[in-house]
Amino acid sequence: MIRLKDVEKYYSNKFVKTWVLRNIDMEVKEGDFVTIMGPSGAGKSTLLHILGMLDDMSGGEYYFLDEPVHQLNERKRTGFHQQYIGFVFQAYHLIDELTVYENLETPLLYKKVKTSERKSLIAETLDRFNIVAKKDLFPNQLSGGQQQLVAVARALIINPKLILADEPTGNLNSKQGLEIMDMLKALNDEGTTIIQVTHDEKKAAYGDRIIHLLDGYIDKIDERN
Amino acid sequence: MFINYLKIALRNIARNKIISFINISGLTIGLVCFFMIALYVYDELTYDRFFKDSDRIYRIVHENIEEGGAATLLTTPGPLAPVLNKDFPQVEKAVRIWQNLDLVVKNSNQIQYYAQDKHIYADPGLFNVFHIPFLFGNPETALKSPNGVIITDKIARLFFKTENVVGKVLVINKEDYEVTGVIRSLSHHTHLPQFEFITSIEPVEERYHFNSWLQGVGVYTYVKLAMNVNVETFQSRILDIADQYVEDELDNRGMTQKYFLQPITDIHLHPNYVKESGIHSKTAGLVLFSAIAFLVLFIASINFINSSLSLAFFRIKEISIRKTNGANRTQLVSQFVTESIVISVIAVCLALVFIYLLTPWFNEIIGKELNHSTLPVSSVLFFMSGVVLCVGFFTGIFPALLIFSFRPAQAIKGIPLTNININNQGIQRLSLRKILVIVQFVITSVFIVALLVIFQQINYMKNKDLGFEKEQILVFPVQTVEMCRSVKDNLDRVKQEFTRHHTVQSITTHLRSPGRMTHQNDVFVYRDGEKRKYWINMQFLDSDFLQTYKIPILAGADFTKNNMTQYILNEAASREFGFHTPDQAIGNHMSIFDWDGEIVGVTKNFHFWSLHYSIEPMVFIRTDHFFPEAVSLKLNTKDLRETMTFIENTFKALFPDQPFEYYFLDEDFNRLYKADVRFAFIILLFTGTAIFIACLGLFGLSLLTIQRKIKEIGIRKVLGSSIPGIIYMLIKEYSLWMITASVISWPIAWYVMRKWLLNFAYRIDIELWMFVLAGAMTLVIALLTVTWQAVRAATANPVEALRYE
Repeated sequence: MIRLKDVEKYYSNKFVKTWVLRNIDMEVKEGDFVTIMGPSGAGKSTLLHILGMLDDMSGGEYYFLDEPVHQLNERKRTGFHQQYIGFVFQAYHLIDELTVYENLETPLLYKKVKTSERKSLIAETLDRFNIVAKKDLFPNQLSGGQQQLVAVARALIINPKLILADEPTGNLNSKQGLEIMDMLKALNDEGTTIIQVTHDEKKAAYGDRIIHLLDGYIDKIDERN
Repeated sequence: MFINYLKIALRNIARNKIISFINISGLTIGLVCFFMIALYVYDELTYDRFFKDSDRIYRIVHENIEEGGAATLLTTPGPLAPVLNKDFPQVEKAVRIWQNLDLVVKNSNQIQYYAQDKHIYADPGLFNVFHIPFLFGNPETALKSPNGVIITDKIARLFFKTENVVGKVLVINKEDYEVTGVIRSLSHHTHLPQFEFITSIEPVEERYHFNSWLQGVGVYTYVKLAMNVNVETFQSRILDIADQYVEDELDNRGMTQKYFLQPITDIHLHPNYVKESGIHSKTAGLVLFSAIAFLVLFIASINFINSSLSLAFFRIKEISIRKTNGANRTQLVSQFVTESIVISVIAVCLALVFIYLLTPWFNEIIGKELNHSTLPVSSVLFFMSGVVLCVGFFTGIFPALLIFSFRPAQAIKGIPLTNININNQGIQRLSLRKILVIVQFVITSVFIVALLVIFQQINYMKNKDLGFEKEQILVFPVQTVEMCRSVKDNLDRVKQEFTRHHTVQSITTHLRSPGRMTHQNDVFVYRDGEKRKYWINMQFLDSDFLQTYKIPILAGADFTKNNMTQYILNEAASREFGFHTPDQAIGNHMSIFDWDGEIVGVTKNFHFWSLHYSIEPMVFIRTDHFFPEAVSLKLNTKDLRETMTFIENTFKALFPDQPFEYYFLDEDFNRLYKADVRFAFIILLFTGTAIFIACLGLFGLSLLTIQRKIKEIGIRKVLGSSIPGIIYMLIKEYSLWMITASVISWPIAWYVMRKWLLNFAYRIDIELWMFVLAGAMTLVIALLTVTWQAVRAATANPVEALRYE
């Protein structure tokens, strides 16, 4: 599903190139649950953003479903977002000005889903995540765990093939964290590909492969099965 | 989708109350100005268009070329219209109109009505050319009878308390007239005089020589062409039309007459004769006003763009999330554009309310009767939606483009918004906003300089020494033939009666007072045994004129008190006639009509007309043959009321039946600058508006930029910076902007105002202090706007700012 070949990323100002990622080769198959680990500044989030097409690469090749992402234009990439990719962030990143219902609706609007279908999808999702009662509240009226729940719900509503999760439980207490992880695991079991970034060994254990990053290089890969 | 955009837009407006207020109020004010001016321009452009078939109606003017020069006259010889009607199938109808200046109307109930300019003579064809609806009476026959009069509904109510008064009798200038028709008062939206009475032109044909191609004062001629007539061909047919009828006579007199068609819809904007009566705005003025309208709207839009750009920084997170949720470019642009269109729509609605409320007041200022109810609804809607879309689109597109230029990853990583490096373009973006603000203040500063120049010029014109004393001169126009006779026949007694009072220093009779239309005619000058002809301004008067107006004599002497016809020239005339020094002119003979006389004196030049015009040659003629049109009294009094009582009583005793109407010369003369004063006032209004809008924008911008600097301010204070130090840091940048704006505005203002000043033959110099003052004003106004914010930010507790970082 995903193939990276010699991907690199650097920031340059006039005199210095600052390397963030170098020589990244990796492959992710459909249905994988991959964890990216590493110390601060190792390039974990940058890699995730490149995978999610939120950030440009400085060099290398990236194939998503055999399409060369490094050659695609903005429109095509947005198309991939709309169809295949859901994001979950540590800081939830819900739109503060929108209610829970409207936050869930946003990706569907951008995907141009018809009104009736949209309504039923949202209703279904609210039900599934047990947040029907919260649908008219704004994010700042919810607890952190509830906000992350909504964020996950929003990532899932388009039924993505790939979920990118950047420390999804980082801001949550352990009980809430476990709930979210269980949910991701359940999704993975249903066939959704998941790539997560985490510091936490316990959370990392949910994946079937762990990629360790160090100073921008892939240090080692742990296969768990 | 759209509903969603709309919802977000409304929530954003509600959330950012101050910024929304600034955006909406700025835009509303800008739109009010814009629409007001648009209304004004539309009004100016559509003069006379309410007449049916106005595109086929023309006024015929003619040029009289003879030895001594050419003169363009708005009138034509009387026989033209009948000839056109008889010999030209291209002409649907031609009609003659002549305005009568003496009018006293009475009826059996002893109601009296005096007015100048309210009575016209016309051919029966008048209503075939100008479609003027009748309330009562028959337009076909109303002007056929020589003693029939058509009156307006206003006059009907005045005399008869009702409107259907056909058949009733009015006494006009002592003759009985029967009312044959009642029309509605004419709209002001026309170049035609605001007449209340129309009678047949036939009875006065003889008196005014309307049957002669060569003699007489001429008459206004209007034609309505038949459908599908080629105007150019027709124009070429009538160019030399007089030659077909009176070629020999014209040749004998060495004259040529050329005739030209002038579309009536053009007359208002293109009066081809500078001293034509009535206030005529010029196309240049309209272009200028339109430019001002666009500039004010532009300033308001800049505000809008600027605050949207600033707000976009605060919305980077929201937009990033939207991007990660799959929003593409078009969708994001649509959202921004929708938001600004929503604001525009709100502003337009508010603007419409304000326009509705302010129109009467605006009308008073500009002296017009603008009326939006007559505008075609569809084009108003079209126009409005055009403005909304343009403003909405351009103000929405800038922040949207800004948003595109960064990758969402940065915002999502939680980098403080202030530090987000937008593809290394952050600095350039900032300078876009800076440029926009500077542009705003350049415009504002140009307005301020313009205002200073205009007020200086008007002040200069009102106070400049005209070469005669215009203060304390009271003039009463001689309005009727009766009064004219009475003044002429009893001149000595009239003078004695008025000068009995010690405050009346002297009294004189003449044609029109300075500042009113002058009379022009041919004169013959005998010099070195030769007789030469000149076309020249003239003033008929009695021997007390120069003394009353205190016009200094350069050579020769004032008129002597005898019955001889005598001439006095002004310097310009003396030079025009070829005398090298004023003294040479003295003793020569000249004549007008058959009144031969001696040149007895030459006066210094003085301004008979407003300072828009340079001093023209002028001849004063003292003769017993003329009929006075005005009487001037030179007063010297501190107790005006007592003097006025005396003058009024004396007037009533001398002219029992006449209306006591008068004006003071200085006030009347200043009337010539009415258009300029009005122009100054409009500029003042727009300058104020522009300053207000620009300050509003600057306020919003400083609010946002200072908000983004809260953390920096906190850190600096923790590190020991003083409060004044921080205020200085915050306002330093704005001062530089303002100084830049002023400097840029100077050459523009200089160029524009120099052009404006060319309208005046006598004008002030544009001086450095005007620019410096304008610059200082801009700076002070801008800093006052910004400082409040800066002080607030600088005095805040730094712990508050740093706690959450």
